[in-house]
Amino acid sequence: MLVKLFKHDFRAHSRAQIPVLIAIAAAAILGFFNMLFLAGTGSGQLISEESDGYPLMLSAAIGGTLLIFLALGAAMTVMAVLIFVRFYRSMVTDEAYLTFTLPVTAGQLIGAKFLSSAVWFFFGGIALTLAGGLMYTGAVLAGGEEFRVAMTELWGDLIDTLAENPLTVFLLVLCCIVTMIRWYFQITGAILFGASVVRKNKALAAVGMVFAVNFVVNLVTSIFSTSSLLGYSILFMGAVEYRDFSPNAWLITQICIGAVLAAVFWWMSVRIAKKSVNIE
Amino acid sequence: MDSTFLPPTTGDEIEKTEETGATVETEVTDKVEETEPVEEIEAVEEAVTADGSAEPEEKPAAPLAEITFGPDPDGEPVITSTADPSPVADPIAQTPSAPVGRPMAAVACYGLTKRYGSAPALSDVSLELPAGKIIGLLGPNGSGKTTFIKILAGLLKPTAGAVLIHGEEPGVRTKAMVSYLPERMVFDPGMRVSDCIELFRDFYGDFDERRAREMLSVLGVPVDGKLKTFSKGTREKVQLVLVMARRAKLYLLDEPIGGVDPAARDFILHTIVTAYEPGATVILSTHLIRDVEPILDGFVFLGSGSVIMSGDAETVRADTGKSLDELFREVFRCW
Repeated sequence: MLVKLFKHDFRAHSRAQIPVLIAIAAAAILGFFNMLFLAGTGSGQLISEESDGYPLMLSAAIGGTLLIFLALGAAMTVMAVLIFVRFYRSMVTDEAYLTFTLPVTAGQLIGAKFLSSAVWFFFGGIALTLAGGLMYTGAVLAGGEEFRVAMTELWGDLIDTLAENPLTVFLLVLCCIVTMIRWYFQITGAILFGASVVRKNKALAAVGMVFAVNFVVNLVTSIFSTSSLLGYSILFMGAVEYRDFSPNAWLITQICIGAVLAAVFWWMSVRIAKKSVNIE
Repeated sequence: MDSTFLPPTTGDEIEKTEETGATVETEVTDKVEETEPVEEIEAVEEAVTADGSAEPEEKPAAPLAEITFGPDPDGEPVITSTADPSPVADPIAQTPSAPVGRPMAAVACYGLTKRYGSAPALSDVSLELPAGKIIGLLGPNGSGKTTFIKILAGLLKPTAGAVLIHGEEPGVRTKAMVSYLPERMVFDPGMRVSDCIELFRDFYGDFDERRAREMLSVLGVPVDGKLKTFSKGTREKVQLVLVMARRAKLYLLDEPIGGVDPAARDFILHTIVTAYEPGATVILSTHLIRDVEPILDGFVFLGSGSVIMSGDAETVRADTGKSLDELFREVFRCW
């Protein structure tokens, strides 16, 4: 049943998410040409730096780049919002009459929704990475030799640093995954809880509960995330005098707390779904 | 009497209706003496309360309690009970299995109560509905019909009491045997009809896809069409077709003809009568009695969250000389 639920939920997501992916692709293509324009202008290939039109062209290129980045960020935000809107619609609105009369358990329902959401968010991440790659290619193509050398050095340094700290890389990846899982169940749990405590204005209650829960939980977890981020910044900047500060320990703590919170919110979601959210 | 719309099996509660001017009241046994006594009720009361320790094996394989209809001395309909004198003391504690020699009820509920906050939607409803019948769940707006159906569908948990569907509490297993038509559109409007069919095929083992496609074909609904491109009426028909194309044991149809034109009502009622699985039970909630009366085998009048009256449709018509619609208007008269 989990596979069937996943299939239908994945398909339901596709109706909303495919247009967002198309928007990301369009932004990426625009970004590619914009980077050609920006790098070409910046390196003086398109227009002389002494020319009267140079500042205007450079401003346009920089403005365009900012807009492209904003559009890509907005697309990812929309993608995440759509994931939770779909969750709300299928669990709280009229669609819930179908959702909760399917012969499946509450755990299967929530689990399938998590998996399909994760896959679609992963697709979004891939699309964003490809968009970034395309824009970077545009910049390299038009940026000239000097730009290519600078980029090679930057990437080389970053790769070297990561290679020297494999445990850190592993913990960072693990922390990202756990944090995303925690965020998903934190928000879905808050949606179900908010919608279950009122009979009317369920959407408002759900959104309010999401903000309230996020505020409280993030206040606590930010202590650990800020500490570990600070630690890594120091580590990567090579400040020898602060090497005793162990960011990995903070990160491990953050991972553990994230995992516990994810489990708590999962349990809460399943419990509310089992008792039913008193859909109206 | 063949009809077995069973009142509470505790035996400590007997319903009667007594027309007093403009209203029909329902009284329980301990309040009977406060009103004009009715001989039949008193006789039954004695039978119910005299010997609670009767040996079960001495009992016939008849229903534990059975509502009968007969004229009172004033010629008005009176519901009496021939309740078995050895009921289980705690109705909620009854086992799901049916007594020996008696078919298991399609739906059995005991002391079913549902409150939204402090507002009661259902109050101590005890009822057993037989299998293989089309039963009208009839009552005015706000009488608790939808709440009752939602509990059966597993959408709501009762505040108190118990409900059994073919001996099972509402859950994953009953959802597999219950085909539920809510009064709302449950499909994402972006779905194609074929998506809806696939969803039903994947989750309901009793879904007859061929029958669904045939019915949709008769209606002229393209299976590759998106729901949002259809009219509201067509979307409702698609939903009805999918629900009725299941070979379910119990169909729960919540206001299936509410808010549709007379021609659509005819289609819906025709679909219900022709498509439902023989041997299955259909519970149909509505307040449009006149439209559904021809297809009903039995009825339950629900008012203010309580069962006001229940019985076999044909019998009550013969005994009272009134149609269900007329009886409904009497029972729920507003002035």
